[in-house]
Amino acid sequence: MVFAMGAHALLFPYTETTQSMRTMTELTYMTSLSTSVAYDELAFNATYPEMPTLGRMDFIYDK
Amino acid sequence: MTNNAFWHFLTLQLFKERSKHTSVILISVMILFLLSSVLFISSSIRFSLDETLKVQPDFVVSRLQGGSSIATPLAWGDELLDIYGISKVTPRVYGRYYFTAKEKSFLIVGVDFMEEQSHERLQKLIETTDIKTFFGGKQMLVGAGVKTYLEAHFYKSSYNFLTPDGTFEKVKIFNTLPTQSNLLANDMMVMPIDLARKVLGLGSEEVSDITFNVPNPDEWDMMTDKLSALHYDLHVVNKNEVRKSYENLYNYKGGLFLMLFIIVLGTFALILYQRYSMVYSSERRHIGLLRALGWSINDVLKLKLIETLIVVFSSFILGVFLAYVYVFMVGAPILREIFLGGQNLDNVVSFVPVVDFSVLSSIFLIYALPFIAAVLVPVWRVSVTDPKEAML
Repeated sequence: MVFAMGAHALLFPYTETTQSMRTMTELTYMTSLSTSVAYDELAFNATYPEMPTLGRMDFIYDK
Repeated sequence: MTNNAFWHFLTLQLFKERSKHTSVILISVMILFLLSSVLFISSSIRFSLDETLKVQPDFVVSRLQGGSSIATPLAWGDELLDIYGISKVTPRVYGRYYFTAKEKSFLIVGVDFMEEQSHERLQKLIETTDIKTFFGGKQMLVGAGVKTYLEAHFYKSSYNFLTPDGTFEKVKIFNTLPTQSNLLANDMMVMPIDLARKVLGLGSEEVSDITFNVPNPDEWDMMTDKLSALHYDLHVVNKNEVRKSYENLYNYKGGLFLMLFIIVLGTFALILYQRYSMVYSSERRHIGLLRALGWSINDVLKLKLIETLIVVFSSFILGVFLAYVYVFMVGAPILREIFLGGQNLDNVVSFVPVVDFSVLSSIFLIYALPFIAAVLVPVWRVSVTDPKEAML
């Protein structure tokens, strides 16, 4: 089991994966995650219903 | 007692009580599997973010009005260039575009492809295609999630954006961004900066925000003060704050699971303790018998310690291995929703294998110590009593 884990970790293409993400950041100058949790990204603002919704980086940039 | 007979007896003992040990191992494996999976996902995402944050610009300035971000004047970029110590001033144009019918949204990012560096990076990102054709018309690159979603809604080769001035803008889908960057680019639409401005309703002299670098980290605090004094509505965020926000987000999620793990483990240890300290249990008679046959207290404790260690190690290795397979080989099908969310577009991420040994050793200690104590304390209490009493 330990050998299987080690072999998978060694064979994983770390360089390609991290390089791809780095190039993406260098191209767009952005590191915002493509996720939809931990911040309000619905069509309605659940916390303040009368206010507009928040974008995915607002929890950082709109402090 | 560290001779062959002792080990033979230990093996026989383990085999005789295999059903008891198997059930304990199964419960432990389940608990360890869940916790290790959560910590693997969280450390993998943090690793990927750290790697990308290294190349992100040091500062972001934007304009605030009434606490919300509004379009930033492009002229602020020129003001920033005049400040000594600032380099690589780059405006960013981005924003969310709602696919109204289904309440899903995409992230539109405008890139200035007139810059030579952007050309090179685009070529690096999409190696197989002829980049020149990309500039032939209104075209965009989309993330894997966007591509799947648009195809499911019959937008196979192009998409018609409804711009804020009420007109439609037809943009062709040129290519899909590499799936390795899905963590960042799954819901992204990358297009030329002027086209992005039009779709997002920004003026030609407006941008979403402006990024820049300050190569000397000792100047960062001073630079924040200096910039804040430039305009009353200017908002500055540096890279460390972004990093801290991400760390807090994932530490919180991992911490929540660690808390639940400790509660579950506490309950489990309590059950084990009660089980081993039962007055008329067969375990008690068994220990009494060994003592009557001439085993010392040390020998009995050693037997139980080794027996427990075998159970602890096998469940720990099995739990961690299953978690590794589930997260890094299968992609954590249900659990990833906790970290990535399923409200917007489906995201299939291949997590970078990151095994944090400090976290693993902490899990092992938190798991192994109460477990061993829950078994050895009652065993010791029985073995110090008179064998006759213990066998009653």
